[in-house]
Amino acid sequence: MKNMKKLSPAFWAAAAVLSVVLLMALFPGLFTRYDPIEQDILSLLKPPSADHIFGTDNLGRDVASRVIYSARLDLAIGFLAMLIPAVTGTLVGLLSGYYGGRVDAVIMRILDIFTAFPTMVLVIGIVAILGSGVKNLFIAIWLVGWREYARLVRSDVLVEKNNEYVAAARSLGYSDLRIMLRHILPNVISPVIVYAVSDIMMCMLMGASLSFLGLGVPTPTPEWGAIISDGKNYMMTAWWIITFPGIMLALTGISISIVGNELSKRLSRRH
Amino acid sequence: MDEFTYILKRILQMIPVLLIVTLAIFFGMRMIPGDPALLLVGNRASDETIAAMRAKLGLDQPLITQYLLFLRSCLTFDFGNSLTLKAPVTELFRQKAVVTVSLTLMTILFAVLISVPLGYYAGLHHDQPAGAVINSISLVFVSVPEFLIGLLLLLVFALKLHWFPVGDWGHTLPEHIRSLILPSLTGALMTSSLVMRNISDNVVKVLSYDYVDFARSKGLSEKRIRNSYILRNVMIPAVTLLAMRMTYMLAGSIVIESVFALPGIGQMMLNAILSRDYSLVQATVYLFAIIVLVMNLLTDISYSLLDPRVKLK
Repeated sequence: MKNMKKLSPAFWAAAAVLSVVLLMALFPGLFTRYDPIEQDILSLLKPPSADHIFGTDNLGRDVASRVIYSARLDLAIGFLAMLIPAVTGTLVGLLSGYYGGRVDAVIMRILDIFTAFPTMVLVIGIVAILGSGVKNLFIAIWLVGWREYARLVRSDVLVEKNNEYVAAARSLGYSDLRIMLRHILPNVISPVIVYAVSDIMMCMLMGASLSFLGLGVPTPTPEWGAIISDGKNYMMTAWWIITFPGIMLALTGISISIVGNELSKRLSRRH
Repeated sequence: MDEFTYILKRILQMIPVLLIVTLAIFFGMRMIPGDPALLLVGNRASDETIAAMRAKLGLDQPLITQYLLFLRSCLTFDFGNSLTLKAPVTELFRQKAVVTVSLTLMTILFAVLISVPLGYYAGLHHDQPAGAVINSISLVFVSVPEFLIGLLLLLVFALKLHWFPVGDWGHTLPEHIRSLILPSLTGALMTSSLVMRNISDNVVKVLSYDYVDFARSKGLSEKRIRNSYILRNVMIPAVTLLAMRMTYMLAGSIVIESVFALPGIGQMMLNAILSRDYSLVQATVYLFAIIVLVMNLLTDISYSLLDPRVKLK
């Protein structure tokens, strides 16, 4: 905590943006009085006004409330889609690097097969098989996301396991599991954390992109990518439909990147 | 000779990977809910019509026979006709590939033109405001989705200013190039942000090495040091990164093609998925896998060609 004052203004701005987005995700009702799904055929495609600060869309829904209610799903996609692959990928990488030999060879071949498919093609392919929807979106990203973590951890473990402290732990008779989790893991976790933060951003963008293609979140669920996808046909006449979710998506992505950058600087300085 | 053995080994290693890829594609596609025959003839068709369509598609054969037939088409690259587009799949892929490959090459061209000078400059001036500004811009373009940047460019330069056509691939070469400028720029902004940061970080790193100090103490001019010491060391990882991005673009241009309504492979695959065109999706994913494997091999080879310290083994 003593390094607090060295944090850059950009970091504080990013933290402020993320706090607001988090508040929107937790208590959307505090920010708007409109329902994000309710249609109002009497006010279609209305420009921003005092009544509807971000205007209304082609079905008369309040854009501001749709943008605010989206925060929950977009943050959840970013965070949850990152979490599961981060854990499984790290464990796979640990096992692969620690045991080497046949275990490593098998895991590496599985990794090769997954790598043969381009990420976007793989995710879209899985969504195509399972059908679109939020749950299947998660499954698709989970099945794809672990690769980077496994590769990252494996290469570090290969170096780390030759250290004396590992030999010492072994001679004390500690189990492999304990050596892996208690001794090696803490020494290889920093790059994983740094990657995980940027992965939150990448997962969020992936979810938004899939929704944009019509393969992600089903209508009328509010999600930034889906709102932009719906609004792009009205781009010329009703700029507000895509502008505001676009700004939110961009601001959130940039803020996560800034926080990740700061974190990576801090962690690399310590090593 | 070592290199030759290495390349041969890598090519041989592709065979089992590709075999499993075919299995994954085949059984993955069979897991998609819905009967493709029913989808083609419509819900109200008689049982005989459906059965005839199933027979025509080979869906009445045992699964293993169907797989072996698929395997045969993978080996001969003859995937038959697309169900929905009524044309040979390989021919369709070839036609659409022209668009996607041009898009990729133009994106890489733009990315090099943007990222090399800016990244190099940012690295040399990393402790000055200019370097910080360049780095911040690159952070922004990494964190914003491509479809958003694409829509923005489309809105401003095509819809408002009318400098570029909207969703029109055109018929002549100049028309094609014109319709590719905005999509390429969209892809290039993200790619060049990644490459720019890579170059700038590496310039900072190389500047701290002893051999740069040594070159200075020998009295070499600053220009000479930059061109023959720094640039060369920095370009090697940058070229690798660009090659990786090229692979990504070849297969991942779906979003950009969708924003700009370009008739490329990505669009074709998206439509094929949405219309359950089994043969087309299978073939496209398989061909993508081959492209990725070959590109990865080429990336590794180019890496060792550029950097004499890296040995292929």
